[in-house]
Amino acid sequence: MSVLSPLVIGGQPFTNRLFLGTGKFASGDVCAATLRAAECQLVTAALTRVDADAPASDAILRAIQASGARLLLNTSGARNAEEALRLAHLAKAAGCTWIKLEIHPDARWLLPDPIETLRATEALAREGFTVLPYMPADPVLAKRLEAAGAAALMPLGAPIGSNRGLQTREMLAILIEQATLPVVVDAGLGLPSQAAEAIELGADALLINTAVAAARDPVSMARAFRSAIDAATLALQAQPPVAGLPEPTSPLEAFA
Amino acid sequence: MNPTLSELLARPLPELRAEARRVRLARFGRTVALFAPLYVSNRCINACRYCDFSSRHHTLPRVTLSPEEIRREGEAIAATGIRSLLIVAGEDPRHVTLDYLCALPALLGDRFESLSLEVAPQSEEAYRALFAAGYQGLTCFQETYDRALYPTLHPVGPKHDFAWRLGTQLRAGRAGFRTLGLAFLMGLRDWHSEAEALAAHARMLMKCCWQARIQFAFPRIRPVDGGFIPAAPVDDETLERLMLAFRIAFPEASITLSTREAPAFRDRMAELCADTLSVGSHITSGGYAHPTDQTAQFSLADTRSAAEVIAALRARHLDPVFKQWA
Repeated sequence: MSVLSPLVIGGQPFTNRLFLGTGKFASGDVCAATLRAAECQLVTAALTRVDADAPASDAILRAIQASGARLLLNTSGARNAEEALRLAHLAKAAGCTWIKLEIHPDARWLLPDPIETLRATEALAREGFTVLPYMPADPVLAKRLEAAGAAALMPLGAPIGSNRGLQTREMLAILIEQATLPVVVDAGLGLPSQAAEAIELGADALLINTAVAAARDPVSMARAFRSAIDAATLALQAQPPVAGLPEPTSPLEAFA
Repeated sequence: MNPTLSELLARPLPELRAEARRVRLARFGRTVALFAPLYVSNRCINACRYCDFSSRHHTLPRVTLSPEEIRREGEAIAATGIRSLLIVAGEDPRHVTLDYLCALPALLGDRFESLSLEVAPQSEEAYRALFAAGYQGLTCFQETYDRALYPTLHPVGPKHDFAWRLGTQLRAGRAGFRTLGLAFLMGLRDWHSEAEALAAHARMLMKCCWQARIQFAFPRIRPVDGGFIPAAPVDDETLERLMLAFRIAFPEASITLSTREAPAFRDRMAELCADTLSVGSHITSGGYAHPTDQTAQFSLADTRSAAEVIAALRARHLDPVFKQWA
């Protein structure tokens, strides 16, 4: 799909294609101001970091609540499917059934484990969770995750926090072309121009954390990403005479 | 390819600072993880020449905390907001047994998110038991990577065995430990070759224990009761250069800085390169519930309370983190 189709994940429509993470900010106040500035509609926070069972006393959860965005708790820190399930169950106990599945046993690059991610997606989808798996940009794994019941696909552009842009571009292009679920490029984007590039590649949305949170001025950086995404969306809708861009109508819609 | 340590160390200090700060921000953002050390025993059968816990210090009152004392210490630390603990003990297999260590997590209950160990090196099998009991992290300073110097500084006791100590992190990593801490003790000899050896040790561990996070510490030797005089003292600028160079050479590794260092230095380094700080340290056994300075392992430069450290970090627009965050 692409920004040329409405974005619906787990039955919920999103008009803002910029999703944000909440790690690495200087404070809950800066985080809250950033979410407000970006008019963010989907925000992720690590279950290992926040107090999901006491949201009123947690600065990050308070910031998300005040922004009006949907909370997407993530399982960052989980090294295997079992640990991810345990964290997801904590989220459910706190009333949150949207899970960003993050399983990265690799301590250095925080790269997602495809095998454990598939196992956990199957289990959580069966339990009724809305599962958004963080995954390698692997088109075959994408099809397996679709079959396992994922609600969206979250392939990485580059390792978390690396700010290197779309290092996985070729595989992402195949993944996006074949996907029947929304594709949210997650991790590795460092500049708004890279976000625009991902939209032009056909991504439905982007999840940004480090590039915004670690900027000297996170509020301005969030606005910059928002502007870049909006600009790329507007450009695609204007249908430029450029080869290789997402088509306005998908074959599925044409046959429907 | 990341630059080598020697290339980095040759760079001008302002350039090192700017690059380290950028790397630190990209990986850790503005967060600083806080932990408190909990000294459970100062009994020791080693006789490290630079250490106050040495068995040769006959006048030092010896303490091993009882279960009730451990519970009270845990309560006192938890009251400061800290949720990450480093359990520290001297080496005395008669008192600090594997069973003693395995029982600790249950005594501390669910007050803490993360428990790490800085105790005598154990076997891989023992580390499996400790991991199952609830410990996730392990720290062991090699003190010196100089095989000839090592036995002269550690003349007796199990610590005399250089190779057994050198294999500690590898055994723990194979047993599932998630954070592996390593260091040399600065001041024992010329630091150049020690730093290269530390880097090589870390690279080996990153290959063999790819699931574990590497954590560097940079402890500087301080005066002790025994009157040990460091042969090659390390000054502030050298310490800073080393920390900045390691930050850049190992962007993904954690760097921790203890209360051995002064408040202003710690706060500044937290901004430039250190992602983890110890706080409110009482380096005596039972020191949180009943503060005293009679049985310390070394002297402290940063005696601020946890609340004071937290306030100082926030003033620098850093975000102190209490829950363990991988």
